[in-house]
Amino acid sequence: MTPVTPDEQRLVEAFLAGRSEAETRALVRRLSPPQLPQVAEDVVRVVRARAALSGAVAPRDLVRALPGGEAERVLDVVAIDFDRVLVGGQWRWTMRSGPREQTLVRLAAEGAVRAALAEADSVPTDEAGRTLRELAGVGRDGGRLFRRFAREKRDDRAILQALTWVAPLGGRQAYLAEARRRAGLMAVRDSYAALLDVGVHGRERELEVLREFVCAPADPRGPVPVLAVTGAGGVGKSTLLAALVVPYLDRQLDGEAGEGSVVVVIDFDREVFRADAELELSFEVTRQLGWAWPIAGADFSALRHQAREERRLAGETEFEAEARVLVDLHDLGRRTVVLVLDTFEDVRRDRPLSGGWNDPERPMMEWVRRLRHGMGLAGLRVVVSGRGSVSAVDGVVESLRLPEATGGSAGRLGR
Amino acid sequence: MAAPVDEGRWDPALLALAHAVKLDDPVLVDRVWEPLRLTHGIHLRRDTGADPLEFTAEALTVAEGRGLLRRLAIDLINGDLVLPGFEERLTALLGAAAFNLQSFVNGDFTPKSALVSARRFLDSCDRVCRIDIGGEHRGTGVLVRPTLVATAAHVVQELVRVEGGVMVAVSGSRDALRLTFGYAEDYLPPPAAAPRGAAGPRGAAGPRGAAGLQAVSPLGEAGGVRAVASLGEAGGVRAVSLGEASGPRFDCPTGDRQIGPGEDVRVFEGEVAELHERWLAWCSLPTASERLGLEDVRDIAGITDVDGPWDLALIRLAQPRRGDRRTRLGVQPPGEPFPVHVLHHPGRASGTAEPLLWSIGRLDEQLGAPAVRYLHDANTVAGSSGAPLFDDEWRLVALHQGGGRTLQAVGDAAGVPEQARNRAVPVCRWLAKLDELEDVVPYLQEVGGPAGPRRVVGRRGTQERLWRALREGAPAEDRLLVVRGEPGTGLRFTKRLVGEYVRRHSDGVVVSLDVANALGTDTAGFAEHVAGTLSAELDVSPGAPDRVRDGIAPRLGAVLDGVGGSRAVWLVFEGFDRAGGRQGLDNLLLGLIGALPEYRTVRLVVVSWQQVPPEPYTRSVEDLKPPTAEDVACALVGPGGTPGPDDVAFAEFALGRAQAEHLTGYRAASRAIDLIRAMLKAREVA
Repeated sequence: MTPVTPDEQRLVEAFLAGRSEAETRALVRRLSPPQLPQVAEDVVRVVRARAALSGAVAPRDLVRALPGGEAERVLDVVAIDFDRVLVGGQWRWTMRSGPREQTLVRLAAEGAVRAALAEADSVPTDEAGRTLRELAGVGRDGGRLFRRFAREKRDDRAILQALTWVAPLGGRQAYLAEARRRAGLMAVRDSYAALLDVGVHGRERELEVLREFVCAPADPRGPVPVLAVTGAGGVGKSTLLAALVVPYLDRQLDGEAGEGSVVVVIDFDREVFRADAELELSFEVTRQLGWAWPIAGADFSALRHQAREERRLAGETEFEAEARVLVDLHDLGRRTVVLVLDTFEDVRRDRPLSGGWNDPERPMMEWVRRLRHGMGLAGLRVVVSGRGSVSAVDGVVESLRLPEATGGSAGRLGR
Repeated sequence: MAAPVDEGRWDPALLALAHAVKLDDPVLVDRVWEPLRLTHGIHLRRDTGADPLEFTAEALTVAEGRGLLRRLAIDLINGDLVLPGFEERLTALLGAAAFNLQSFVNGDFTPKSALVSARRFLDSCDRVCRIDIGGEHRGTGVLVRPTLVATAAHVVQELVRVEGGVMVAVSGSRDALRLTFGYAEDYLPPPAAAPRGAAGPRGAAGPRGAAGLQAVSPLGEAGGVRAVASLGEAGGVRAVSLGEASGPRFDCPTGDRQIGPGEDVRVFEGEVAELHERWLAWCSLPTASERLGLEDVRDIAGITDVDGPWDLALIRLAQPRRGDRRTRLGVQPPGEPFPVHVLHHPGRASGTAEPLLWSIGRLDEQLGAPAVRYLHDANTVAGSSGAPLFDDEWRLVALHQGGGRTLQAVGDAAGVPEQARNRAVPVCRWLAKLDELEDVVPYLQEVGGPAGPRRVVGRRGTQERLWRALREGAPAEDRLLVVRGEPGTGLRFTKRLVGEYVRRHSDGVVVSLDVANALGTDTAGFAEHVAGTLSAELDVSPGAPDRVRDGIAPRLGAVLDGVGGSRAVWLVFEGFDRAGGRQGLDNLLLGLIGALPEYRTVRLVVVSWQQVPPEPYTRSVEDLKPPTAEDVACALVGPGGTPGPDDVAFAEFALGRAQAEHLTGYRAASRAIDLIRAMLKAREVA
């Protein structure tokens, strides 16, 4: 770079003024480009390509066929590009998304994906890695492959992971969105389905009450119907809820929500649903509505992103009011939405001084009312599960108290 | 399950030694192995081995081949990582060491734990430096904070002057002043007869563990602490025979040189510490009578406990040293006499300095109430000024100032014992000044590691946060760093920056995970992965996989808090932008954040996470900006330097040129630096 104008020349002279020649030489040395490690670049490229087309692998499989010393050197150089986890006594390395993206983009640009796949094929990897290779092998057209995945009942999480990894090769965005939807739903479903492993016994009457509450017609101008399921810890509240929600979640998982009712489940065990963060709760409601009605999902997702930016930059957002536009646009207002609030005692734990200014329930119930009147979910009804009773902001709360389990049923009840 | 280890691959003696190493605490193993391998360019990593025994056997074999086996073994012993029988097997390999710690008792010194004292002693040696001005030896200094060295003000008095009522460094003084750590002599025992034949399994000739520079001092091996690394690795080493070394050079009876004729004395030249551009952090001159020579060592006229003067200069380094553990200070010494140890570089008649020496004495009188000067009888001479006085616990209690030249015994015989004392300045009098001055953040200009070096441009805000988080007892809000930024702001570089910063300035362990790689598992599985990065196991009951707050988060937190012992554990999570929103991960993180006040050794760095952290942590969020001209200009000045207006203007000019090439963010900054270098190079050639 040479200065081209007198002003620029003066800048350079001013910079150099007072610096001795030795100082300038030292500065030139300091600004020299860093020296790269002494390893064969082509070897590193091969190792990176193997890793980018794999999931978790044993590190020594990445450098097989290399002499011991060189293998160790190469692994030392590339280690920073990997998650390195000891699982079951074995080290497993998984390439990070940044280097993976760079490697896949390079392979695609060079038209070298197929050759790299063939080279990587014999490196043992996990299910997500194998799925990644299948996806990379079929290019952008994955319709037939996904139908096979469905037939084989492939693990949804592995598919989501593989789709996320393979995204830099382009295409498959719709499949990725669907995989995210299914993975999200599966996470909720699995957490409840596990409670049903031994079945629900001795709660038939309570389950019937719940089902009737869900199916009863609601007056869109009246207060939000609320049913409180109460009982001591371990009496089986969550198991009862599981029996209610799992069939709905299964239908939603298969994309069959259609005109029927949908459930939205919020477990206050999760710290993210802090009692002072109703906005996060609204985000979660729209996320799960998007799972039930995927056409609306993308719009809700964009709105959440926008709201987060508004909150970050301005400190506040009108999320619920803006979500109403989407609720109306997708005609969701008239659908029955069953909002299940589980482990409600954790809300009280966040605000233990119940009553008065610190009443933990009031903001929750006001938030529920905003869902109905602000977000426009006219078909909303709420099931609250917790150890104590709940009072509504308006209207009446029905109550379903679970008695202590006795005898043989006690052992079958979970949470 | 791991494949069975093929034990036939290893030398049976080394394999037997490996069997006597504790394999169930891999993080502690890392604490020993990682510094050794990084220092000596060894590529063997623990996290590539399928089996701990296999790794250990290979590590011992590599160490043996490099002449580092004794060093590694001692580090393992000191890390409490060995099983019964280890030392016997080691001795069978290496033969008996030439040095054995011995304990003794006399009237002044109570017995102390030998290894603990030895370790502290070596640790203290690592903190003492020789001070030269214009190539001539002037005195001794001691590291009192990671970036601050204390010495007597009269040592550097010719480099300072009063300006506007405060002491400032004179122009050009930074180039004249030189601080050298690790200038010490050491010796090697004569090679023992090889106990197991002349060559090792890989043909290594000579006695095992005693090859080249790696055969560090017996003391170093006994302590097995970082002092050895510094002494051994710092600068060059020259060997002189005892015949060449000038007899007893210290003008007092030493009697401690046990080396016989013909044995090699090695002088480690030490490491010159780079000084901060504004090297004089603070200075308090001696009193006039101290400058001119005290007639009475008990004269404290003109000295107050509030204002001194203290005959103290605090010198600022460009980069911190020993950030892992602070110098221990004895701020409340007992009123009764107690033993003291002085580590110092006395001068020679030739104007050069002695390698590091150790004098023992008693601090037996405190002048003033509260005390403003101490008297001690440890032997010192000119050039010892500014040397640290440690108590028996190796806590720094004072800086040696000066004193009479009369030997105690001579003084006693002459009937003037009261004059046979040296003076020192108590630490407790200037402690507050240390706390006031300490917080100068050391900024990196380059990160290194096996993946190759990389320049650091900007990221000062991140480094300031890291510096705060490094502190012992840092509050929870300082131990959480949420880093966000647009592409080009260096977001993905964060992991590497954290790793290098922590490695350089502490003994913390850093692990990182890309959460976009955790989509194939649930929250419990992810928590197990987090523990797995630390080679730890996490027992998450499969019956209740969704209990985050009560189950997974506290269990993981307990593992993280306990896995590194007292060492800080840094977790870097990245990839949230690619993970597409994982409620379970958010919950887990919020659970950990909520309990951070309890997990005192845990540091969390969360990159590209969009969640709003709970209220006390709102200041833990950093939004990265693209590098500015000032960031580029920082690369033009040395470490610790501050760019001037001309530097910034020049950087702005270069950055503009880079942006004209349609580059933005880090690419533009990097290109600007390349352009500047090219231009300077061209002028140099011209």
